[in-house]
Amino acid sequence: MNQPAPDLPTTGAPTDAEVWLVHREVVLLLMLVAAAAAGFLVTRSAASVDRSIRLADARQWHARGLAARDADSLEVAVTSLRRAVTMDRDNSRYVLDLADALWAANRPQEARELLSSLRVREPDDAEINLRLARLEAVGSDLDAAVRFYQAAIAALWPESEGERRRAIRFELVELLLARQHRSRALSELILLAADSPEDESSQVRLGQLMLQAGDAARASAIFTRVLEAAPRNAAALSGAGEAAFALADYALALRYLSAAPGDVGADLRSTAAAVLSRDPLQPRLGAAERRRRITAVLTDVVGAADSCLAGRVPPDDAATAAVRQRRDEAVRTPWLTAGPRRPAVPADRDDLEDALVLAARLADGLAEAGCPSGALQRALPLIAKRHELALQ
Amino acid sequence: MRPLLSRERLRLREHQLFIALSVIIGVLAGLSAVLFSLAIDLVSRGLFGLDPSWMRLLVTPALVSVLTGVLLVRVFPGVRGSGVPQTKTAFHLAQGHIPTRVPVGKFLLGVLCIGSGHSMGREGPSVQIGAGIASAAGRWLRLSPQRLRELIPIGAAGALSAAFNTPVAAVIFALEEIIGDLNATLLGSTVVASVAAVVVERSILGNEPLFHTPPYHLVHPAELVGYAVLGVIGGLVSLAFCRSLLALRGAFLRLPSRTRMLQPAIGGIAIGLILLVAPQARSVGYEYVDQALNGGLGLRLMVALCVWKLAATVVSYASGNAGGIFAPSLYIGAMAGGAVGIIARQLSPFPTAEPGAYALVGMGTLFAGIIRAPLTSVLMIFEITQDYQILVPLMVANLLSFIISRRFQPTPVYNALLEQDGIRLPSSASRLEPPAAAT
Repeated sequence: MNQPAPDLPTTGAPTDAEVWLVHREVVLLLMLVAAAAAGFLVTRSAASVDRSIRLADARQWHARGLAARDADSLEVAVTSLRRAVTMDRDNSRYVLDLADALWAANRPQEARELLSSLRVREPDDAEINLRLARLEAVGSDLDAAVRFYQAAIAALWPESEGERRRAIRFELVELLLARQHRSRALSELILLAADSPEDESSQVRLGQLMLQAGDAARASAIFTRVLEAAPRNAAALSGAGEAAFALADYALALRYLSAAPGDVGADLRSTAAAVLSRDPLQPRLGAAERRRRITAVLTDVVGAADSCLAGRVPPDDAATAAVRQRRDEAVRTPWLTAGPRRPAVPADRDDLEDALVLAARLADGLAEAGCPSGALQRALPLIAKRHELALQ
Repeated sequence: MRPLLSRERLRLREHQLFIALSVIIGVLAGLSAVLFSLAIDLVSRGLFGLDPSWMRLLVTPALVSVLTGVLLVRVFPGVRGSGVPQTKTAFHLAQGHIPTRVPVGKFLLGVLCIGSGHSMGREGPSVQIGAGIASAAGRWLRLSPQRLRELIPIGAAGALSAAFNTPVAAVIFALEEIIGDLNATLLGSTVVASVAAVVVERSILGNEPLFHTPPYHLVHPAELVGYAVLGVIGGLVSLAFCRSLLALRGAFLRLPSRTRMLQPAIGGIAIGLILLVAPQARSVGYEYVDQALNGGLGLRLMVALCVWKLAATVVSYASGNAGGIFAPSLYIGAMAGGAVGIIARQLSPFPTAEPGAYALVGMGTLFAGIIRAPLTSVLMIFEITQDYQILVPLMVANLLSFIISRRFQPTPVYNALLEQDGIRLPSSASRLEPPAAAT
């Protein structure tokens, strides 16, 4: 390897000098190895010092970023937090705070990219998935949002963070309900019900969401359970009333809603009361009472139509024209032309049903035409439905 | 006489020792590159602090340059600039001889110049330091001139491998740029050194890529048009960089020789003024490259940084400071690419990738246009980002940039810099043969 080596003959035994030279080179190489080892130790120490300085700098930038964010200086916050992230890439906290700042600064795309990169490294991290879910939730990709929410929920949470996990599932349910995905929301709610704590507020919220998702029976059971423990709980009374109303148990609905304090569920209460007090087909009524009720119903609904039509100037739109036509039809019925006490007016069930359907259709028409809607108008379709009468 | 140690075995042993030496040089070059990078960070942090005031930005480069000017003239002549041209000279013209004080001076002055805010890169000096260590070790072992010469690309590859964490690109760079022959017989030793260096670097700093990017890919086939436009723009920016660098350096060289000690300080004053306007142009600036790659910079800022970084690098280099142009070319390319990416996204009728993808390709484009090593540039970007998806756009843009740059600036920038110093490297055909003095 040293200078004489290239000139060595290719065969034969080497001289002592040649062998010595090779041995010398081995010794020198070993000395170089020792130098490399020493250099390695020095460099590693320097790297350690550099790293500790970097981490300290990153902490300072992070603190500055948070302070700027709290002071609403979002661009300064983004710049500072970005520097913190550059200096300490392994710190997920910094990346999450930067993503929050970017989002607050109305730069959701950058926040999304940042979080997506972080998620590649830590796919099961709850905080990353939750932020991505929220970003997607305000965007248009509901499936992605649900996927990230579910990943956040499925993440390994410490025992003490169980409440957080439930809160995220509540958040997911509210998103699904807001986007009209009731069956998916209901699936999540059923999981939530199995995991939900027994405190009143959680149960009431669960019941309310069950109601929104369209499962009045489960909601009713939840509210009933809450009321057994806390009979005066206003939210539970109101929820139980709503659930009973949705299950068409208007008597029970009225009972709960009447017990609820103040104006809670006032509309529902008046509607339920109207359903119960003005239904001409209700069992165990005498013929006279049925006649009285149907005449009063028709009179009131025609009166409501007259009030509404009085303020409208021809030409009528389609909805108003339909109201006018149904109103005229109602006025021509024997119930209104003859009056309730005239014995000539027939009172068999078919006639009552026909009249009820006419009144309900007129009430429907009033709602479609944008007329003010009272308890009776709201109650009539429910009464028709209660007796399985088709309005179309 | 020893019958068990024949001459054949002795020759075999010599070959084994050379491989062992390659490993050791790779380790030493890698350590020097890591230490160089750490020292720059520490000096920069010490000089500027966490958040430097405008006064520090203005004054620090000039004051430090007064010191470096004295050292450059009185103590370490020959360590100005990048180090790559000097390494090529050592390989092609000096039989692999690099005086020991060169790597020492390059380390010291590189740390001072780059750490004090000059807009220069650490990779070029690392190459010269690595080659200098290899040369010193070879002379200590009393290697033949031919063997000594062969150690130069080995040391250079080791240093570059550790500086960029890019073992493959470092090997290709040594073959493509230092030796000038991709079929060189030194491939084995160069690979060994490169691997040894990167193992050392990763064992100290960890296996993190130099830049962190999201996975980018070609969104639409027609997007290649956008990358082609980036290639053209990259070629033109490369041309502007090379021409302005050579022109300003030529002007500095024409100044009376007694001003040579002051020239780095003149550069320092100019850098201080530039840093007042664009503090992001300070030193290596990879932090901002990273932001561009991750879509964190706006259009106006990226255009401004492209211009200011180009100006700052030209001034720093031309005024005789010690530092390279690899990192600035990546920086300028990232800014130019990011700006093109934002414009493409706004104007393109078809979907386009994130601006960060264009910034990534822009880095390679400027590297191919300025350094004029197209294969190295593709591999380097791939290894730096560890992102394979962007390879096709990268090759398209790099090729266009390379063609434009070569068409309008036939002499590569490193060779042109050497010619300004009165050094003319042998043509590529004659490079394949070792110099006559070595035989």
